[in-house]
Amino acid sequence: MEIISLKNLTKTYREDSIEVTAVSDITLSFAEGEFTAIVGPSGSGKTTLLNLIGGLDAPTSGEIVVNGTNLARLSSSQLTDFRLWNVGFVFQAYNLIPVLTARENIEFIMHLQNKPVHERRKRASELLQAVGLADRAKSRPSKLSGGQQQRVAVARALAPRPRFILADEPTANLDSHSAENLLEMMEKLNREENITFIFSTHDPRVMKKARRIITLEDGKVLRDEQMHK
Amino acid sequence: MKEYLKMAWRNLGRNRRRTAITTASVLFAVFFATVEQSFHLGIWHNLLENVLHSYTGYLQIHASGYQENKNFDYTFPWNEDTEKALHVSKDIKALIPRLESFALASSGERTKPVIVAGIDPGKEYGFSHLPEKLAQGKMLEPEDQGALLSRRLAEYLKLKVGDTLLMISQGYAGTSAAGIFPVRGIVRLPAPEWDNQMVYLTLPTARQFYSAENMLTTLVVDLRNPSTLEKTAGKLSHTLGSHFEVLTWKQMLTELYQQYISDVGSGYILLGLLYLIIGFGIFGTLMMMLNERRYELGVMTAVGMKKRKIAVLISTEVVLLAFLGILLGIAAALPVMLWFHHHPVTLSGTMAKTMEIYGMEPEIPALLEPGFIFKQGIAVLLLTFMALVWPVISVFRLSPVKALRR
Repeated sequence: MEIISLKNLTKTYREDSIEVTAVSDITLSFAEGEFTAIVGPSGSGKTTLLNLIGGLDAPTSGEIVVNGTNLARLSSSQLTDFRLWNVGFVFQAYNLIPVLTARENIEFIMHLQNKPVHERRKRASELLQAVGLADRAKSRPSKLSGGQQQRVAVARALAPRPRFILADEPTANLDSHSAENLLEMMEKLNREENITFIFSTHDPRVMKKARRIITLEDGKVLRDEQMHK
Repeated sequence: MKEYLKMAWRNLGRNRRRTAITTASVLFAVFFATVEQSFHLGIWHNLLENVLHSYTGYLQIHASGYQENKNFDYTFPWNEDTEKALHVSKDIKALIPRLESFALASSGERTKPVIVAGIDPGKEYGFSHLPEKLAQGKMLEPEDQGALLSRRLAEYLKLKVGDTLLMISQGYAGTSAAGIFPVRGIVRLPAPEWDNQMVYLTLPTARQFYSAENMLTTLVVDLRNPSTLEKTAGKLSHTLGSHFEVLTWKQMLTELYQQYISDVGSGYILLGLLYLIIGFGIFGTLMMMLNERRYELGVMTAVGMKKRKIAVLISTEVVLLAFLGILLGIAAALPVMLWFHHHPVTLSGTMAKTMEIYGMEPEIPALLEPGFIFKQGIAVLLLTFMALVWPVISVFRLSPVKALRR
């Protein structure tokens, strides 16, 4: 079942009076339960594409339809609501709120959704268990390793049960052991809970796990391959 | 809100040194402003208490038009029933009746225009503490037929206790008034203009002199708390109706009031400058805080936190910071104010002598009144809100994509 559809998507930026096309005329679709890696060299448009899919940025032209909603028609406030209820984000690093504990970080988005306390607590406990950090629930991010922080970030992204998760180079700042653990955990969640994952990455380990790899170059889709695992 | 408070409080703990410096700057501003105001207003409070309690009082009631034309066409009848009816407010401490007019006083070869005040000794002494100003002789008794003279007037007329004062004037309804009065005592009044021309008689004696039976020109209203001045004036004015005028000291002693306003006003300008510096301090801290946390705020917006909520979070942090500074500032200022309220700064030398000549205690007490302390807090909070305007606008203009770019 298709959940994201991109049609002739283009995004241009103006930097120091020079126009830069970050994404150029991309047409793609993503189905529910995909585990997709978007790869390509730096400046190929991976992050911009993720930002556009996640409603963080608006396209210069083209269409982004998520679950039947055209994001280009939403106001800034509506886009914020869209992100809150539909998208889970995992950024490169340091994306946890430093003053909140691991549990509070996981509960944060559910709190924004005004979910009742008992529901938040239950879901946070489940997710802490799932990411193997039940014993670090009360630790603040500064007391967690980079790998543990990313696990909490994944748990936070999963907490409100979003339609899909966008992860922008989630393993970029992790050592190989932590990166491997994180990938296994995300793969397991994808397999067992049918959560859609879309990564942007340079990391060959992520590419190895991905079931679909989209290669970008100069803002265009160079290849779109289904990997048979 | 609880969550915001928790996050805001913890955020303040993130950069403890900066929080401490900003809190300290607010603390010192509130401390200095409160203590400065306490002394500044304390001086004025002391001065006004002395001046107003020496004669004018905080409020006066006259027949309508008396303030403009001080003559017997504007007297009003007075009895105990009317007095009882006027106790409309618990803020009124006492009503002090007077019959005031002018006369030409003479002794030997010297004459001088004087102010004659017919007073109820019991009430008047309780209000103006006149007996404390007695320089020679004794005070008037309730049924006394004699006169009490101000010191400079007595000196000018070369009168001593036991001598006789001659006065002529125009009485009620155009009658002629003339009388001789034995001098019972001499008082030293604070203000030279009063000390030069005051003659006190008892109310019955003055009424007899001016043929103004049961009449009054002035009813001084003494207040329990001067801060209730306007409220009490309004109440009395409403009760008495249009046949009477209720005047506050600000309307009667306009020059003194202007001086008070300009002096207190210049004090506020100084305070304003002090607060402006603090305001910029808070603004700087805020901008620094926002800049440091740009990425974090970008993440918050990205995951679905409305900018309005981020603005509330930032504002809560700054208001907490300001509150902390205000509370600590007031807590630091209170013992100082309490001490100097009970142990005023005692002046010495020429300054002390001058004050004593004017009948004032040569000391500067600190004023201890919740009103202006509260105002310091409000001023800092207002500044905080002003300092918040631009940062809040910045939050609303925050682009998550730009904020997430390192």
